[in-house]
Amino acid sequence: MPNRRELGYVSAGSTSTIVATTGYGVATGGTSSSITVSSQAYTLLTFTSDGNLVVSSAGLFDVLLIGGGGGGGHNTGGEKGGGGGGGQVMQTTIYLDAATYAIDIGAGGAGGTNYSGAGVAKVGFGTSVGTSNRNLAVAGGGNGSNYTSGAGQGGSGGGGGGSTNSAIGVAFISGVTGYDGGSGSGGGTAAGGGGGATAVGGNYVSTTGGAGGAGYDVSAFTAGSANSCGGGGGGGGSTGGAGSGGGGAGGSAGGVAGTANTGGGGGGAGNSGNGGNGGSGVVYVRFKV
Amino acid sequence: MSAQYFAQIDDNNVVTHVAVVQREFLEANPERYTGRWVETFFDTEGKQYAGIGMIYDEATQDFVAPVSPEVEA
Repeated sequence: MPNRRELGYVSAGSTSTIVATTGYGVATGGTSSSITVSSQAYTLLTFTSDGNLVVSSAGLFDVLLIGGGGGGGHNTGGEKGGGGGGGQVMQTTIYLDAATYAIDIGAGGAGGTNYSGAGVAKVGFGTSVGTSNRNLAVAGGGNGSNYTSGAGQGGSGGGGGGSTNSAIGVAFISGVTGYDGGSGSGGGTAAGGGGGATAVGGNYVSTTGGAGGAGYDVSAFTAGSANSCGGGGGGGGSTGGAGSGGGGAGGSAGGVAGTANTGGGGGGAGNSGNGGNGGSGVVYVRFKV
Repeated sequence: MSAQYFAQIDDNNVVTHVAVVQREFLEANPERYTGRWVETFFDTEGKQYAGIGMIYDEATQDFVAPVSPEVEA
């Protein structure tokens, strides 16, 4: 069971009275900027690659993590590849002691390049903030399906391929921070889109790949312009499905890569070519000033 | 600064992990990045982005998927 300090409370002397703390801590690391959210000033630390969060003054921190996107499925003998799922998204507030914490940014999964084995699309890597007594972590997105392998599980599921042998991927925790992929045609004509952080991937429509599931807009956290992250890649088809939330579009040929540092899934391939790589993840940490 | 990607490879040159990390940070933290690491490129023409199970070809300095039988569609 977590102690009271971990929950953000302190004991007042020897009595049983519990007093909530509202104090935020101070830290450095990543790229620092000053932002204002709802008239409250914050320092925002953005980590786009591995690094360290150095907490110089203990307290509360708002943290938003996005895992790497899954790779898009490749074309297999005319069968279309499913879109990669978006990376899982977590937004929380945590109390951190003064210490150094490892930040690991999840790389995107490689798009599919071969019929089976090591050449199939890869699940995205997880993103984490390592702490001394607990670990904040999110999963990468599931890989898109192809003819010989079903779509993978992940933060969001990968899309189903355009093949009777293709299953859609499912999210680890469906409906919370990642959604399932969409369905492919089952007859080789088009594939489903990868699941996103806030919506399921689209199913194929005729010869058009399904759209990637919608991502999560981080702008309310970062005070930046609209920036949807953790979306799914589009499915491959004669016309590729659109990507969402940083996810790459599905192709009529090769799929498009997800955008770096969005956790978007890679697009699935259409009539030829490889799946798109998934986009890498990101970590945002902010504290009141 | 654009992101750099490094793949961890085992004694058989098989990829076991991919990290998003700047070269300077990787080299400064050997206790965190143990073993052998090779740079891989995310979206560069003519270069294959690494994935777990792929093999690093030292001659071409690129990553390849093991050859597998073609599947009848």
